[in-house]
Amino acid sequence: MTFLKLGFRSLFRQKRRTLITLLVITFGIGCLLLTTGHSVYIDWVLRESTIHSETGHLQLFNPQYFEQEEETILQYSLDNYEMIIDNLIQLKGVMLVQARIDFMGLVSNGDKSVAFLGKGVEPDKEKKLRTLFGSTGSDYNSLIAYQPDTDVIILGKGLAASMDAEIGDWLTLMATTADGALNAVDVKVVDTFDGGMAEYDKRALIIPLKTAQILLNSQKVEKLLVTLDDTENTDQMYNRITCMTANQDKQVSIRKWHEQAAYYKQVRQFYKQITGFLSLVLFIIVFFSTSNTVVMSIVERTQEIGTLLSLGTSRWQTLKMFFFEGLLIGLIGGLLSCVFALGFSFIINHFNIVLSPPPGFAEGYPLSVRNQADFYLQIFIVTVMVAMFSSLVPVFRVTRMKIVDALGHI
Amino acid sequence: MKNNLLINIKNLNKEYMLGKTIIAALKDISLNIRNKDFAVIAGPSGSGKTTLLNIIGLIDNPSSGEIWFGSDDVSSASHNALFRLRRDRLGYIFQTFNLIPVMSVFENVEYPLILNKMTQKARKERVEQILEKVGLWERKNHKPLELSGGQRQRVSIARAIVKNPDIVLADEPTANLDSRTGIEIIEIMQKLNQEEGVTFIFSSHDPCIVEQGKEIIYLHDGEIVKTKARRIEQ
Repeated sequence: MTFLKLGFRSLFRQKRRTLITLLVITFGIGCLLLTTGHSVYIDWVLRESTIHSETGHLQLFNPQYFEQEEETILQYSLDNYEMIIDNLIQLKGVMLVQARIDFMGLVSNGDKSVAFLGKGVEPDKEKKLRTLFGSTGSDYNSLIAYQPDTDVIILGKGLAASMDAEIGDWLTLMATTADGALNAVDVKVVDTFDGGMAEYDKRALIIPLKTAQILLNSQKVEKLLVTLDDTENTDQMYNRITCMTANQDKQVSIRKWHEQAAYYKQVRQFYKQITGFLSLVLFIIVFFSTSNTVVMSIVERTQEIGTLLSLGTSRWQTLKMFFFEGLLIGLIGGLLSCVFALGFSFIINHFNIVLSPPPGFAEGYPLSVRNQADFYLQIFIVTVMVAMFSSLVPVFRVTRMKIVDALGHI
Repeated sequence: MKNNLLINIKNLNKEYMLGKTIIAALKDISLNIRNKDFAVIAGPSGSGKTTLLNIIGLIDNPSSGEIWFGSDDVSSASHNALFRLRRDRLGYIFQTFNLIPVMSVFENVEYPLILNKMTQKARKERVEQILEKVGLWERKNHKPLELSGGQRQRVSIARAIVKNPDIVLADEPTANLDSRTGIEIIEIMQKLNQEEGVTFIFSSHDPCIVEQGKEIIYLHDGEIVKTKARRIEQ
């Protein structure tokens, strides 16, 4: 207790120097917390938006889909999908089960033909999928409005521009059917949508599932998307559905959302690397800043250390005193960093700042910070540890000095 | 009389390297310090007074020779044994007081008792008793920087004697004080020596201070040139 008290008092002996060190820690670690918070936000938004637009939490496929290359589209697909949907939707925690077909082909306006990446969807379920994560899902309003008509299409804005197509225009979709023949359907443009990435937007189109089945001449679907009430339940539901489907005649292969989200994984990895590098740099700054404070303090107090040793203070007790100083710098700096980061994250989130779009994207994204208690705790602990250990080496050296040399130090 | 022997120094030498030159700071010093001595090491600047006190105080090592603390040969003692001796049996008074500025007067005096693991109640009683003796109880909550030089040195004396050490070493305890305050400090030390039986060894080059010692050891160029015992009127 005496050494903790001594450490605390000594900390404020040189108020200005301690203040500068605390400011370095506060701003450095505070900025790290904000960066991490933003990274966590990006991760969360990207994860949930990927799930609630692209992947669902779980995807069910024909097991052969991953084992063999398809020679024709929908060769390895689900044919009894409506029964599976009926069974899955009964499960507690399952919010939505929907069918999809991804396919390719050519879209033509009579003058020009362009290759496309198409999706056959159930419009009302697609809208609901997006509303589960706060989106309006308005892209699907037109398809829903035209139900049960099947000869409708919504185009990516880039593709619409490329085809010079406007709402109300008719286009022809051509694709190879499930049995290998060529088929075509005429569809009316009822809306356009923003595909997110500019390159994807120039190729993307969405049609009702039934239209896709007509075009591909099949009653099957490529996959089923299962959306849950909480992403945290993914593993639990995966096990449950695996058990449930294991005894059925026609087995399915189940994939978790992140196995089907390559883009999400790349972005996440990218942010992790940036945050990791930034953390390393900032912790090095904290280490040297604290170390500098302690070294300066030791140099000034060498004679005092000599006095303490001559009075019968052990080297370990002397070490402990400076160790406590480092600990206190870390604790105070860590706490101030958390307060700083919480305050600034509140301000940042309050002002709804939108950043310019990244390369390849059509829209900007919000500068938001998601504060996560476990990250705060981890960074706080590392800050305290770094501050504590940065004081050890210089103190250890000075406590090895001969007492007479320490006493004679000016 | 033999049982009364506190420190026995035999053929002590201390050499320093100054660049490539060997400087002999102490030459073949042999000396006995007895219990309740009030000894002064006198001599001009550079005569080796501080070096001798540092070696007796176990904060510097001799180049050769023996130092006996009672029946213990401390010249070859381990680091831990020296640490325990300093903590339990030695008290120091420094020329520049060397008080811990972030501690109050009370805490500075209490500190050696904390190292000796005395209970809080016993510490409080002992510190109060000592501060009363040096006339600083009223100033117990002041920080060292709020005290005069003489008061700081009295705190330093209180800190040195609070744990009842076998011996108190004082290196030029009056050098940073005016002559009147210096005499006051020596009088306090004398009083503690006579009333409490505290053994003191201190150094000085001031003849007025030197003549206050009961035993006077004259050093010159690292050698004892003369010793003198003086009877003090009780």
